[in-house]
Amino acid sequence: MANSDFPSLVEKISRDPKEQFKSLKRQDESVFLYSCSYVPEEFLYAMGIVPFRMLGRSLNIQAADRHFQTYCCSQVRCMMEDFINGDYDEADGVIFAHTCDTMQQFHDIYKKNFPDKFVRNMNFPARIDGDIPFRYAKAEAKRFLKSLEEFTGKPLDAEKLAESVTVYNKNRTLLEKLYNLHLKHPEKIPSKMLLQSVIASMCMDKHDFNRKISDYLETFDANAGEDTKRKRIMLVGSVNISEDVYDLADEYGAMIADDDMCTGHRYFSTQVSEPSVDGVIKRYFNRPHCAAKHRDVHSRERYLLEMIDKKKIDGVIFLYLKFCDPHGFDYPDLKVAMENKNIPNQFVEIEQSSAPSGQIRTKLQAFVEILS
Amino acid sequence: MAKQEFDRLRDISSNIKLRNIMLSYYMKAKFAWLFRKKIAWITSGGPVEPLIAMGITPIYPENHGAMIGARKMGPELSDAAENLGYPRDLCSYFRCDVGHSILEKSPIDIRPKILKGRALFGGGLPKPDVLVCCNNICGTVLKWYEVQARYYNVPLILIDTPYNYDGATDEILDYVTEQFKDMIPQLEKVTGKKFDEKEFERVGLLANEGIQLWNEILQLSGSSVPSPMTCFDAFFYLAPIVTLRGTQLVVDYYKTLKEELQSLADRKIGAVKNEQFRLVWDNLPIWFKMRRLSKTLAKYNAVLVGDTYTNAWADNDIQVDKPYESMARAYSTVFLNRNTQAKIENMIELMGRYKADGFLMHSNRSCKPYSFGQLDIKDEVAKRTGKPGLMIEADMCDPRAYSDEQIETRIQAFIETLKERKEVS
Ligand code: SF4
Ligand code: SF4
Repeated sequence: MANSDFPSLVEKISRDPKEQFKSLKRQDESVFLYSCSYVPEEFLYAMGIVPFRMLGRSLNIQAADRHFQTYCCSQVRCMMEDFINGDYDEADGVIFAHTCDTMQQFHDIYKKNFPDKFVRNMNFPARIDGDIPFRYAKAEAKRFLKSLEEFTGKPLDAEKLAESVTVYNKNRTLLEKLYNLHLKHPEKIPSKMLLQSVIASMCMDKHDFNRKISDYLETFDANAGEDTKRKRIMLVGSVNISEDVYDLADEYGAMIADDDMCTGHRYFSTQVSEPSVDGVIKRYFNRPHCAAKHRDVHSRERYLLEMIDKKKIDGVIFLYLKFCDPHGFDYPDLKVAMENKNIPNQFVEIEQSSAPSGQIRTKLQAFVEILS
Repeated sequence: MAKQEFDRLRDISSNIKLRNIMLSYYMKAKFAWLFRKKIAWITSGGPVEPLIAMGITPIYPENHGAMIGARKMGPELSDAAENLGYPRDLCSYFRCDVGHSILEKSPIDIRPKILKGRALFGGGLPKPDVLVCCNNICGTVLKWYEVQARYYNVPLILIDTPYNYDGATDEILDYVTEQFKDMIPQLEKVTGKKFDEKEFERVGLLANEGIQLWNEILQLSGSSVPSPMTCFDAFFYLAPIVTLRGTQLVVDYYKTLKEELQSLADRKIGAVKNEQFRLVWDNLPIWFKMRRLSKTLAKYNAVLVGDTYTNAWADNDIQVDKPYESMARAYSTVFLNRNTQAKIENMIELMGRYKADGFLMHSNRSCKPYSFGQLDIKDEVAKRTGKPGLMIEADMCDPRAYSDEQIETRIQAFIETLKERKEVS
């Protein structure tokens, strides 16, 4: 295999995104933090901004306790802690998108405590089920864009947007490729590399990331090799930055073969089919959706079962970030849906600030045994 | 003494009337099928006027949740939901609702002797024919109604009212207006009847009148010194404006209540005998501790003169010439859908208008949108009004993490602070 620094690069960046942020700033990039995948990054990128995904990292929460009660998800509490610590003071802007109640309140609290920061919100609809919300989302995107244009002082250039969409679509194709290659080469591509790559991709200039990952993927012969016989696990949940579950799955001879997570497949799934503002918005209406959005009452179940079938998944782990309401609501019915199809599944509760718990290890081990 | 004071208000005729109204409301709903009436479950901030105009009986699981809480049935019903895998950290109204659906158990049970204690048609709420969910209070209700739509296998009508991060923008108002228009054919499908614009207009006007009266009642009580009613009473009197908005019954009821309160205010009869400390409450009530907290505060001559919660139903305004547009505005701008800065301004305004000495905040584990932000609100309100606030952590329906001693000690200490401040000034 030819040399590629991609594995070490994504490992480094995903484990220490704060350093990556600083390095972007050292290169004099204009960097905007964004809260979640419902922020249309393509717009920012087309305006010469590097979008950088905020994922809370502080493990010891203190200052954030003055703003968030302990029953708030650790993702948001850690982010607040990072902000108060000044880790992202140099960000040129912060963009939120409407998802859940917690994120909604986070926007307000952040804005109140950092009054000098350029803060905007893409007020994405909760419904993604037809023309009425689609019309609204398009109108809202234009309103949102206008506020960005005020910031940059120039209108969004259609050509630049098309370029941006191309870069982002390419990124999606490449990550998709990585996921598929992982099924054939789990020894070379450990499960955790999926997570590391997605996180790194969220925190790098997409163009640079694409170059790196392309070089790396070229070292593989896409047609060679068979899919492995390892037991395939799919992760389902919201946000996770810990490699633990990935490592444990590999350690016990299984693999994380796919996921439906914000920090995973949901981020890069589905292409923008038309290089325009409406096209970017349309993708959200076609993409597998977050639990905080409504397509219909069975849409997530349908999607999961389809993927389980397509990717020949042997078992599902519900990776539940404590206090993440949208996913807490979905879990019991999804579990029943799995049981009805005899798909083994396991609930694992995680908290971002905590160290890997022995409980996760025991649960994973027992689960992999059930699969074999 | 405290008990007497608490029961004094219970004696006014409006209380007995209210019990009867609510009883007959739930009875009628239980037997709606006999009259071929359809049942809609609807969120507390949901657009009920079109439903009433179509002869659909609206049922409010949140009001039911409050009854479950007050009857201390929360833990049992929650357990049933938690056994299915629902995390304990989800809203307890939801957990209780799901638990009640599976166990068919609830404070609303009709168990005639003849059936030897078995419930007639199953205990609990009458089953829905349709679910109407408006997320202007929280994102929780969207998920909650999805769960119930699967459970009961009935259609779900959604009204998505984007949060007012930057106020109620034109984009939001157009979107919500479109959804209201779209809701009508969906209701026609459920009932098999044509929508009657004239009837809708009539209901809308009645809703306005009810809301107007409710608003006047809150103002009257809050502005009177001493206050003739406390928020503990208001939490109870709130039921009709939530559940029966748009009917003549509500209008008549609030007229009487207002007169009775006016008469108490004129005679300077306060809800608490020696009213000394006037406090504003934030967030939902702690339903299972209403009586005890009310007594505790009365013991210290403290009265809750106003709150942010009952006010949430106090400012809708439906205009007959533009019913959908005005409904869109009204429903998009309810208290919980306004941003945190707007909540701060509202709280400060309430404190001033009601001459409050301080405020109590219920940090409610169940209600994340209402509670996240409170720490910042508390600081700013205290700073700008110069009045202290106390935050207590609890849950509106789930007593399992609640400690009387701990909360009461904190309230006592808080009252001490207020006392010292009064003595100084
Ligand atoms: S979706 Fe879940 S993880 Fe994300 S902010 Fe909301 S509660 Fe937290
Ligand atoms: S989360 Fe809050 S607003 Fe929503 S249903 Fe529960 S108590 Fe009501």
